[in-house]
Amino acid sequence: MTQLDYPAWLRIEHWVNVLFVTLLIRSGIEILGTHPKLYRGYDSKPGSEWARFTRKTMPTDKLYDTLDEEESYSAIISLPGHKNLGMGRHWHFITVIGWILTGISYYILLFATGQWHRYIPYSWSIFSDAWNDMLTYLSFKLPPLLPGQPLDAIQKLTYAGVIFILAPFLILTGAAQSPAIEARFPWYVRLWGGRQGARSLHFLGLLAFIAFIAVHLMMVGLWGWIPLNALMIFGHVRHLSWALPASLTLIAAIVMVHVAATIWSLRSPRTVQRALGSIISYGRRQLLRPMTSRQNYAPSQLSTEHRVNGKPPDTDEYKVMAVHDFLDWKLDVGGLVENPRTFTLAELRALGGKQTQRVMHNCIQGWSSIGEWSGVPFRTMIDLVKPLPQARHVCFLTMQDTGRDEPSAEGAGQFYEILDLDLVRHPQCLLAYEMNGQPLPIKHGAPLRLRIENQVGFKMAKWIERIEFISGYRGIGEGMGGWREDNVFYDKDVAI
Amino acid sequence: MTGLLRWTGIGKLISFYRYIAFNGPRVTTALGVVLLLGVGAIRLYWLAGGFLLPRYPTYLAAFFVLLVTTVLLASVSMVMGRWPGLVMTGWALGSLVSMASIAMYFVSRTAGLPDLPRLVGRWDYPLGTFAIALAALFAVLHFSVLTGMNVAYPQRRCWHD
Repeated sequence: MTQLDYPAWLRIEHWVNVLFVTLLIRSGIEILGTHPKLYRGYDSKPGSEWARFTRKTMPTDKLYDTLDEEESYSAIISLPGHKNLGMGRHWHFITVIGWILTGISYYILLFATGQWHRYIPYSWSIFSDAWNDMLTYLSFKLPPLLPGQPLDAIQKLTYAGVIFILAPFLILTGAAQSPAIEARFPWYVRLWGGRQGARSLHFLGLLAFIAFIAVHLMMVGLWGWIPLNALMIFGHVRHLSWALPASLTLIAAIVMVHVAATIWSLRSPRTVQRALGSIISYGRRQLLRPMTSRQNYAPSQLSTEHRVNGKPPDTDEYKVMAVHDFLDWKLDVGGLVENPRTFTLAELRALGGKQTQRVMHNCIQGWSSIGEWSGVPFRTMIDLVKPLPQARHVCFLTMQDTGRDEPSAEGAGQFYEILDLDLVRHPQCLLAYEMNGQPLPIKHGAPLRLRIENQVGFKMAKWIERIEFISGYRGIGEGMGGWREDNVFYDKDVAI
Repeated sequence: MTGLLRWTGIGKLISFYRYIAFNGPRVTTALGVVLLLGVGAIRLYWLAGGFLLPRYPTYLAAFFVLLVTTVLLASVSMVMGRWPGLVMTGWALGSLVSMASIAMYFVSRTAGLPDLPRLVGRWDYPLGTFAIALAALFAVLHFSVLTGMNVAYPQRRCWHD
C-alpha cells in the first residue's frame, strides 16, 4: 500500500485551503449580514424566519425595505465588514473559484498517488474502531492510530465526511442559490427544500465547517502542535525547533492576506470590483449565461407576501400619476433603434401577446418569493423598435432618485440598470405591468418593471420610464453597468 | 463600569449574543428534555448496577434517586404548555439538577466523596464524561433561553418583520 506520508502537494493544499476556507467564512458572513434572517421553503415571509442575526426591528406603521434590514458587522468576523455586500460577494465568489480548483486538484492527486487510503475506509470495522476511539477520547486519553495510517478511526471518518460530503454539500447548496440555475433547473431547488431551504442548509454547512475547524485545532493541540505542524510543513517530524515559528509564520501570512483584503476593499472598492469582477464575470458568462428560465410554479406555490427592495419615487408627479392609475405615464423606447416609440400603459396592454409567468424572485440579499408576473415579452419590444446592429446593451431608466427616495442606500441619482442585449432576448424577459393578476403595486414597481428570471432582483428595474438601446455603457454613470454597480460595487452579471 | 465595558470592547463582546435569535420553541424544548432525560437515564443505569464501582454508599444512592426524580419532574413540567410558569420552573429545576450533577462529579474526582476515595482522579470514565457533557449542554441551552437567544415551548416569537 502507498505510504501515507505528507507529500508536498498535500501540505501546500492544506495551507491554501486554510486561506480559502477562512476567506469564504468571513465573506459568507458579510453576505449573510445583508439579510440576516434564515427561512425554510421557498420564500421569506416576514416573521417566518427560524433564525435571525440582527438586533434591528422594523416599523409597523410605514413602508420599510430590505435595505433598512441590513446589518453592519465588524470586519473581524466579516470581509470586509461594515455593510459591503458587493465586496463580500466579490471575495466569496473569487475564493469559491479558487477553492473548487484546489478541491479538484486535491481529489485528482489523492486518487492518482494512492493517498486516498488515508481518508476512505474500506472495512466495516472502522465504525467499531471509531466507537472505541470516541470512548477513549471521553476517557481523556488518545486512541491508537490505525495500523500504518496517520489517523485514528474517528479522525479518518471525520476527514472523509468533510472532504467528500461537507465540502461538496456547501458547493451544491451554494449553487442552488443561483437564480440562473434555479431558473433552468427548478427541480434542483426543490431537492434542497426550496431556495430558502438551500440557503439555510448552506448556513448549517458553514457551522459544521466551523465546528470541524475548532475540533481539528483542538486535536492538533492534543496530539502535539509542534510535531504535527512539522509534518504539515516539512513533511517529517524533524526540525522541531523550526516547526512552531514556521507554523506561526504561515498563520501570520494568512492573517495578513485577510487584513490586506479588508483594507483594500474598504479603501478602494472600485479596484476590487474591477479586478475580481472581471475574473468572476468571465466564469459566470461561460457557465450561467446560457441558462434559460424554464420556471412555471403552480398557483398554489405563490408567496403570500413579497418583500420590497427599494422605495417608490417620492415626487408629486409620480403620486399624481398613481392617483390616476398611471393614465398620464409614458414609456419612451429609443436610442440605437430604427423605430423609436412611446407607449402609454393602455398601449402596452393592447400590444397583444401578453405573457404570464410564475417564477421565483431572488434578491441579491438572499431573500426570495414566488410571484406571477404578466406583461409584454421584451422580445416583442425588440421586434417593434428594431435595434440597430451596433446596439449591444439595453439601459432601463427609472423614476426613482435613490438619494431622494432611498435613505438607506449609499449614493444618489437616478436609478438605472443595464443588461446585455442577448440576455433580454430570453423568453422569460418581461416588461411586467401585472403581479398576481392585479395591476402592479406601487411598491413593486408600478406601472412597469422588468422581469429577467436568471438574474438577481436589482437588475429588474422598477418604475421604468425610459428604455435606451446602447452600444456601450462606459460613459454612463461610473461606467460599471448600473446604479448598484456604480454606487455599491455589485457585479453587472448577477446570475448567482 | 459601563464606560469601562465600552472602552475595552468587552461590553460589545458580552452583548454579542443579542445578535443571535432562534425561533424553534418545540425543538428547543425537545432538545432540553432529551438532554435532561439523558442525565437522568445515566443515573438510573448507575442505580441499577452499572456504576464504576461494585458498591456505593447509601447517600449516593439517595442522591441518584433524588436526581432521577427531579429530572422526571422537570421534564414533565417543561412540556406543560398550559402553565407557562410551571414550564419555566421545570427549566430552572433542570438547570439546578444539571449543575448539582456536574458539581457532584467534579467533587468526587477532586476532593473526593465520603467512603469513595477510589473515585479521586478517575477521569477515565467515558459514561461519566458523557453525563457531565449532557448536563453542561442542558445548562447552556437553558442559559440561551434565559438570554432570549432561544425560546422554549409554549413561548413564541412575535416577529412581524
